[in-house]
Amino acid sequence: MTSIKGDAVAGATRPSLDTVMAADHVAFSYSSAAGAHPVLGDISFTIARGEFVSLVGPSGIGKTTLLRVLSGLMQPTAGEVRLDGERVTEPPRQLALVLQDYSRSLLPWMSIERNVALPLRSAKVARTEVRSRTAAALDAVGLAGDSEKYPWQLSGGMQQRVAIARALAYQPEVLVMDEPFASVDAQTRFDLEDLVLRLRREFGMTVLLVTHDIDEAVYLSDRIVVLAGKPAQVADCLDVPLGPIRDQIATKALPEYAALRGRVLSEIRAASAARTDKKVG
Amino acid sequence: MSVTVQALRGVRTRTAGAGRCSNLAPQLALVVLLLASWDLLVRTGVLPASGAVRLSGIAGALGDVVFTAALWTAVGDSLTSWLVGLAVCVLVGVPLGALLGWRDGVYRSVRLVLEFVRATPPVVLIPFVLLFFGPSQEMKIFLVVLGGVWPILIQSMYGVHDLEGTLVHTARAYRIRGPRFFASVLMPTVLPYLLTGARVSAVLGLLLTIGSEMVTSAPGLGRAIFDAQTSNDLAGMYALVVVAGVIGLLVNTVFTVIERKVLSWHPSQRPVTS
Repeated sequence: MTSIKGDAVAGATRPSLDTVMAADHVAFSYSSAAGAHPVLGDISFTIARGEFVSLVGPSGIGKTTLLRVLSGLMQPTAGEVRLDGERVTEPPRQLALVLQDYSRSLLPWMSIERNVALPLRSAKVARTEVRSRTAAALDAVGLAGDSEKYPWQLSGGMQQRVAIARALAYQPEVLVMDEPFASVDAQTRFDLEDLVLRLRREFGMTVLLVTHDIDEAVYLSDRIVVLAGKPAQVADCLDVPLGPIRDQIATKALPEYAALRGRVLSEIRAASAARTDKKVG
Repeated sequence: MSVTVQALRGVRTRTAGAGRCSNLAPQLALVVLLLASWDLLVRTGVLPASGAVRLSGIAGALGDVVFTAALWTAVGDSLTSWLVGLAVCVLVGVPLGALLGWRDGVYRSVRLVLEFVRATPPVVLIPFVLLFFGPSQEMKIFLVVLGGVWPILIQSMYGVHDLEGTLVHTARAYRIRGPRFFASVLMPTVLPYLLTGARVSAVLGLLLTIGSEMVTSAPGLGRAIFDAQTSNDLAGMYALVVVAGVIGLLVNTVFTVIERKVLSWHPSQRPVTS
């Protein structure tokens, strides 16, 4: 599990016809005057169509960097990211993004409706279709009555629903989310988690979630990719056999849930302990 | 940067809705009180008659001067050079500032120089521009540009630099680019900064226009005030000062109204919700 030089971790890459996204020996380093700072080591994993995959790891490991590389916002320094078999060199049309900071990712000068419609208008979707897709997306997240409001008139949880609606209306193949529920209160987080699970079932979306919240990763995912080390590498990859329907109370009471949670947590702890040791020593 | 944002918020934070109207009465009361005190101080001789004029005198002179062509020619001269100068400030300052704010390295390296230039009182430029242009409209326009371009340039730079990661990443991820990025993302981010910069530039430009007219006797309202003073027409001088004050107030009001209309979404303008 720890000796992962070169080869992919068992279960991380699954060669399949139905692979939507693949990270193939992805590495990334920042260059500065002092030299190169490697952030991502040699990361390989695949995501199958319809799968819900979470990337977890201790804070500061480079999860957000990896997400930016995966979504085409940054180019890897080695290796490549493929979406539908094609190399990603810029943010692809098949991908939608939901970020943690909803207050900055939504445009305060546009109404909810126009926020959701903007990417579609930019993609030259026909006017009537923009309207129907926007309305359907807002309806799906429970904000049908708020389309004329502005983001700052809504609570944090509702703003994040707008960001999810924007992604939904875009009709992506892969929904990529970076700590999407980290800035809302616990109850709202549960509601949003269940919303994402429902939307994913209804629309058959593939979801890639980056989170530091292990409970969230286990509760939502089909598979969890654990990142550890410096530079970050895939330390483990585990299936979450909890079925497609999950419940905040019943699922979390399952012994399998507790076992998975414990395993991921101890791996992350070991990883961050190793990092601290290195810093001290 | 944080200081500027603070200042920007500080300048613009105002109470919304009903607050505005109920503030009007005490404000007017203060104006009446100040005018009455002035009159009292002049009448009792606390302010010397060699320099101060009673309200009735000023009002009378104001009533006379408003109907003279000379006043409106002077006002026209002042406003023309001011407006032309301001237009040049916008045309030069906005793109140049945007260019400087776009790259982080450039932004950081030019900041110190710009803060220095901005901190230098622009009136020190008067002797310099006078040498080049003489006491003319061109001199005033050049002075307004040299002195007034900085606030709008610096605000434009700050505004573009304020385009931060999350917003840009979101726009890129959703492939919003070109003219749509400019109109839907870039401009609305920069506009609050530009309007603040334009307002400061406008007020500064007016000051430089009228001030330079006083010092160099270039044609305009400033020169009219100076002439009234040197010919010992004190009431007339005060009347012209009132005219200049009203122009300044109008300029500020116009900008406030524009900001309120254009930036209804901005934290400084929108009603307090909590």
